[in-house]
Amino acid sequence: MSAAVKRGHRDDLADVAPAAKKARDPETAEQRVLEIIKCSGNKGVSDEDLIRACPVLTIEERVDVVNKLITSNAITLHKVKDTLRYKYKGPTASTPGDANTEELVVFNLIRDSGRKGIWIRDVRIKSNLGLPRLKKILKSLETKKAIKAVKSVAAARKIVYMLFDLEPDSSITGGAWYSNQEFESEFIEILTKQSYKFLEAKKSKALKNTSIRSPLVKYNTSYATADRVLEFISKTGVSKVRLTVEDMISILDLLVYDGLAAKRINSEGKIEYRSTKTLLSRNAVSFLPCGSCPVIKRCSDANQLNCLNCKHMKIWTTI
Amino acid sequence: MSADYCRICTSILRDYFGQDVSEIAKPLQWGQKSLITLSTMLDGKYPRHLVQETLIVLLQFNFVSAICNVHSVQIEYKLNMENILMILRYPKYLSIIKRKFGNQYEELVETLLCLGRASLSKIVSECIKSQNKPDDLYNNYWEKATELIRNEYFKRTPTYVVWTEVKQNKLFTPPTKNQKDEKKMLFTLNYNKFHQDMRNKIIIDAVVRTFDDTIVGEVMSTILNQCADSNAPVSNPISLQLIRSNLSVGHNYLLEYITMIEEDPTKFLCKSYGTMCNITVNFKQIINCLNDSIMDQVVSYKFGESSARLFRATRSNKLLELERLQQTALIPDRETKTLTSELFMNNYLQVQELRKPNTRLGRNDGKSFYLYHLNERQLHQELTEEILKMIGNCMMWKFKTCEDNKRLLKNKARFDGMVQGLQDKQEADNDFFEEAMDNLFSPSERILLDSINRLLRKCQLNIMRLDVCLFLFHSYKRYNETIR
Repeated sequence: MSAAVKRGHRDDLADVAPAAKKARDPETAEQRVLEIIKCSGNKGVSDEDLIRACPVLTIEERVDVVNKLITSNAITLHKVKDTLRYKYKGPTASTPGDANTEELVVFNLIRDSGRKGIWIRDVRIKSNLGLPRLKKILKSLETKKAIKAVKSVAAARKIVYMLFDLEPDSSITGGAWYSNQEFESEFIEILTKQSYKFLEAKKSKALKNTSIRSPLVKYNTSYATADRVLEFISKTGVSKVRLTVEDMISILDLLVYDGLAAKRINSEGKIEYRSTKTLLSRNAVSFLPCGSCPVIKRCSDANQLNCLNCKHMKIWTTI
Repeated sequence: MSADYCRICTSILRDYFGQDVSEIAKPLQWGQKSLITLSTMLDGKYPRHLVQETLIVLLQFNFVSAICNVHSVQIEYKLNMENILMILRYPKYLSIIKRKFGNQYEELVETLLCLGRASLSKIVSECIKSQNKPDDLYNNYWEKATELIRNEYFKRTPTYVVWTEVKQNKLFTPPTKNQKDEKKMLFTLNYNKFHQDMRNKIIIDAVVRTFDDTIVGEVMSTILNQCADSNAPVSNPISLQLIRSNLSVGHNYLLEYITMIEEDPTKFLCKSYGTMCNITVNFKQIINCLNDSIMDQVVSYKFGESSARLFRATRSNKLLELERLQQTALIPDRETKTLTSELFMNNYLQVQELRKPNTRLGRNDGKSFYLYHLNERQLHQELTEEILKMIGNCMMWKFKTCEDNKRLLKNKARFDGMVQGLQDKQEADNDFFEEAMDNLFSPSERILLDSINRLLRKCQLNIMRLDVCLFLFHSYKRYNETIR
């Protein structure tokens, strides 16, 4: 960010001479000042910086231009260490034409929250408005299609407000794994199954390949990166949502957590996955009913609850 | 010792030595005692000479050891419960020897198992006697027995008299046949060697399963055979040349196979790079991996796949908050909460609370963080207890079935003895036995006998399976304690 800002400043200074001719024109002067303030980014521009960047403008002209920009809500005035600085306000969303001051305050708060949205409680605290009044204002803004309410995945009842034409942030929507604020566990299951199928096919293909004799090459080819799996998943058309590599990595990690795959970092520093089996063939505990007994800790010969009285053990030992 | 441990020891002693021995040994489970104390405790139930005899039998098998305390005049007796638990592995030991050497060696080991400890000449003569072999095979068996000593399956042991010891360098020296004091040189089974074989077998199976290639198993087996006998977490360095000279297959790609095992995420092997390529086996890592595998299987069987996923995710991330756990395991929020609380209630997951410090106003307005993690040591302990309980339950049912059908089983044993005797003398043919069986047992009794045998086999098989878990848990404990 700071690099961009610096570059912006340098460009301004280099362009001062050709711009000077045009700057007299009131419209171009306005654009020019706006451009300078925009380039400064978050830091803002002081009056002295403006004079230095646009020496051709007289004081009156400059005051005129700045006032115009402030009234049109393109820039804002900030006080930083006793100096006034102009800051760019970002793409000015079309404020509802007939909005009153209260609506405008609420609207500005919502606009500032960006794609993450703002909770009604925060709006109330920041705007200092009463809840019934605030609700009315929000409703009127919603009917004007200036803002919209979005349900957050973090809490079912939490509703955040954001500008109407903004796409909600992934922390609000939950990313690819949520649709309409609902967790898509079936979709994840399908993706995991397909990914496992792909890894399994890749492994068996590598093992069956008779043209390669080297076991190490065979072993290495049985690994697949997340990109390759993503390519396969996109080809199958399982997912209607556009998945990213990160999404694929989290799906493949699930396979690792399920004990169906192993991951390693290859020589290029990329994470690779390979389908694998458990180290031990079958769980010894699963052969006995005691293996899944929820009260095994209380099972004792001295107790009423013992193995000879146990219903499941009786069935297991029926002769 | 836990109650389950004691329960199994009592069951084993009852099954193999009878009710009296198990009852007499019971007080010893709770601490070492002198003969006088023991006979006073059992006063009225068992006479003193019977207690003495029992102790001698148990001393013979090293299930009890005599301890001479410096401060006390009397000799005290201590029950070696670990050795008693080894009885469960006897069938495994026999199968190891049979697979590795052959039938005759197995007979020798079986004889020694029945004798507890004995001189080599006694082992050989008893073996010949019990197997009904001609006496001229004595030399043959003697050779085989000395081979077993050289391979460290038998080891020298002192008599059970206090303060006797065998020098380390003479532990595996076989006696000569006409040695003067040959009868005084006693031998017993070297459990460590058998356990190493068991461990190696499990490791080789795991490697074959991971790579889907039997040659990798061969390579691993060759490497493991070259490892020195020690319980260190990492084996001694083994040179590539040594492995190559001992390997029967896959010579051309040996280095590739080793690189494969080394590069796998399980990291069973380590390779040193340089002019001398040496290979070391990470035993501790292997045992940890195998134990994790058992844990995962248990969790998956008990609580389902989703819980197993949460469990694994917690293990690989060490400390996780619930929300983060949900994002990692991609399980719906509510389900995650239910499953983690279920795991937490059964002690499979632990919670670490991170409190936010109190604010100046004195009220704690920030909520605490709850981090989920595993306590593997505690989990191992609990699972060991559970598995001991399961083995105990199996043994209980075995005992109950035998008790319920005592008369029938006794008759059958008598009949079998008779058949064996007649067969040895070759006086009757199979038709005769069939007819005798029909006359002695009714059809329903024959069906019952079959099903009793099936049940006993099933119980025994499951005890052996559970014992493998117990073996791995024990190894895990040993490797993780030596480091500390």
